[in-house]
Amino acid sequence: MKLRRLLTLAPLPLAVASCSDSEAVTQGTIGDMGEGVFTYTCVDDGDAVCNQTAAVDSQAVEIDLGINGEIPSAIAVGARFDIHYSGQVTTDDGEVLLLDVVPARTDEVHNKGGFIITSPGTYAFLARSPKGVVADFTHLLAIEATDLDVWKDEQRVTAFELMAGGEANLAVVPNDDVGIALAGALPYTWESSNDSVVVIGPAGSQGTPTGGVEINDDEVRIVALAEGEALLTVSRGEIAHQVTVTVNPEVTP
Amino acid sequence: MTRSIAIALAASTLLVTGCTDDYTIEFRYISSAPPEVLVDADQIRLPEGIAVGVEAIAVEDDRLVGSVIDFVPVRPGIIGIDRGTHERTYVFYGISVGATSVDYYFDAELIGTIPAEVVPQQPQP
Repeated sequence: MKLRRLLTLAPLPLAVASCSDSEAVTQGTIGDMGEGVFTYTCVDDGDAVCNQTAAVDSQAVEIDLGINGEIPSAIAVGARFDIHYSGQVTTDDGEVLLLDVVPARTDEVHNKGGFIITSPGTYAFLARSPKGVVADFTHLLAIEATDLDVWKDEQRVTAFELMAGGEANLAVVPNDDVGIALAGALPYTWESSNDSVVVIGPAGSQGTPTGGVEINDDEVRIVALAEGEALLTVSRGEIAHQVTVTVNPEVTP
Repeated sequence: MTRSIAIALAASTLLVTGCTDDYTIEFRYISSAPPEVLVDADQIRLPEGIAVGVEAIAVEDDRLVGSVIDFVPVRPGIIGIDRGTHERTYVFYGISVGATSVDYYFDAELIGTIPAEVVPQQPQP
């Protein structure tokens, strides 16, 4: 993995797509055959690789999640993601190849609007032409997420305070059992124990959220409505992480 | 007559054996390969889900032969073998756990068979 990372740090002349439509990046991960570049892309908002807010300290997790479309160190089992391949690849006969990224194992990798790996392990993804010529390949490690971290203002949090009327952005990052941050979009559920104290809404929303359960997003915006305490729970399947939010009265000058 | 038939049979047997023995394939990895990977003329072993790039060169009587080799897995659901972009390069990958063999052809002629197996991945440390 260290060798791969060294390779990805090498400057590349190719411009490749980023995980966000609005970002332009010039890096990815060079394939194992050295013919082109594989680029990781997010397929929806539930992927910590493509956070919109500054809740997560990106430098703390980028070694795991990668930057500028690098192939991450590991993907969460069950998470959605996509990989693209860039490179003007021609055969020795001069034929220019049109290449799709396909998994070597199709039994454990679903491909419907992005890939989903369904069990732990290492998976080769091939840049393959319809005629069956493989120009390049890369490997992804899939790990079961066993823990969730919630981030606020670039810190992992389990409790924090807000003033009534205040708000904050929170983000969740899945981890494995040794703390490696995992890429891929997972379906999360966010819930406040007390909607009259703290309400949860989509990241980037305006005004006061209507409350209730926020689903499928790794980032949320919370608004403190009134003095009191609320327990925020973010969960993914049987894994959950709770954060206590204490709302203090608004200080008036 | 009987003796000449016997001599002819013995000679043809030697000829067939010689042809089979004289041809072999030399493999060289052209990508990184985990320790569990083995691709050589006698055996192919890959963990499921793992790919490796190889260069395969036909050798006859210790001389390199320019023949293009076609590798055909007998059970294509076990192991995948695709051509690479450059001459004599191939990508071998494990699809699912199991045993099979890989026939190889020079110029559309079946030359030999290599036993192959795809093994489970070792658990992550």
